[in-house]
Amino acid sequence: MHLEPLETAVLEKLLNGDHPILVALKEQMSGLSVKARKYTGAGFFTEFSLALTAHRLPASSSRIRFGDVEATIDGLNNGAGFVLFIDDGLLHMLEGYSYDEPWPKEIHGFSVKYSNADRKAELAKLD
Amino acid sequence: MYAYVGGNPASLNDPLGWCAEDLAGDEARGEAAAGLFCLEHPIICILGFAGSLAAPVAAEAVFAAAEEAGSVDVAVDANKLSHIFDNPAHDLDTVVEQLGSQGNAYAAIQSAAEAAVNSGNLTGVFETVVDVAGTQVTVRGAVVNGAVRIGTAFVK
Repeated sequence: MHLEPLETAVLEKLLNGDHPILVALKEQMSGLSVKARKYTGAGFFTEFSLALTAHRLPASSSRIRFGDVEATIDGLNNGAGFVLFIDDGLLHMLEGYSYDEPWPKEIHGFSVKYSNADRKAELAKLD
Repeated sequence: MYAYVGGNPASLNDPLGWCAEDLAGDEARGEAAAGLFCLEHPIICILGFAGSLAAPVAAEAVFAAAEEAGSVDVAVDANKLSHIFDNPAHDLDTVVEQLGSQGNAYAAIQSAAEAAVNSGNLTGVFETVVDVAGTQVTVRGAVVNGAVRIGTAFVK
């Protein structure tokens, strides 16, 4: 399975930047495929499979949850948020969620942006 | 005027006066996909909604959530409960065990998030960490028209 356009846009936005952890995660993405995807009706969970050669993050950064990207999506009045799960130093899963609205059956139009243009607070989670 | 159907008389119906149901009989991907609008009769609302579902799996999920949500006097969306509590990566099993059900855990998270939003004067999209039954839970949500809408919750 491949990434959906929304997933690709969110991941590229999330991992944009020159923070060493972001750079390392972008390298992991080069061999990324979708292991499983589940729609819950309130959002989705997309689990990743990485190349065997993917380099793990240092032990101090083995478990991270972060996500400062939000999306405007056709069919969701209040938009959507996302969390990237890193476990054992590897990209594990992307979660998307709505705010008390049914997740659209199909996504025809969307745009992504940072929750806060100043990413310092969110990127501090990577240190 | 149309508060009994969430302000949406064109697509929602409330024949019994207990809760609104989606006239489109919305269903998708094997899971219930419609929102529920029931503030005072969550079990009745959920059971009524489940009866309109074609997919047995979806109905079972909604019934299970109805049972768990029995003591919660707020709108309960079975999909939301499943989304937040059924993914092991969220690591919320301890919270559910402590509070007895997913519905109770959701109510506690909602209450704690509302307190955090009010005390911190949070607006728009927010992330906050709250204590729920002794566990530090990260809650992500949005304040929409003054109401706290939970997006997701997990233990870091």
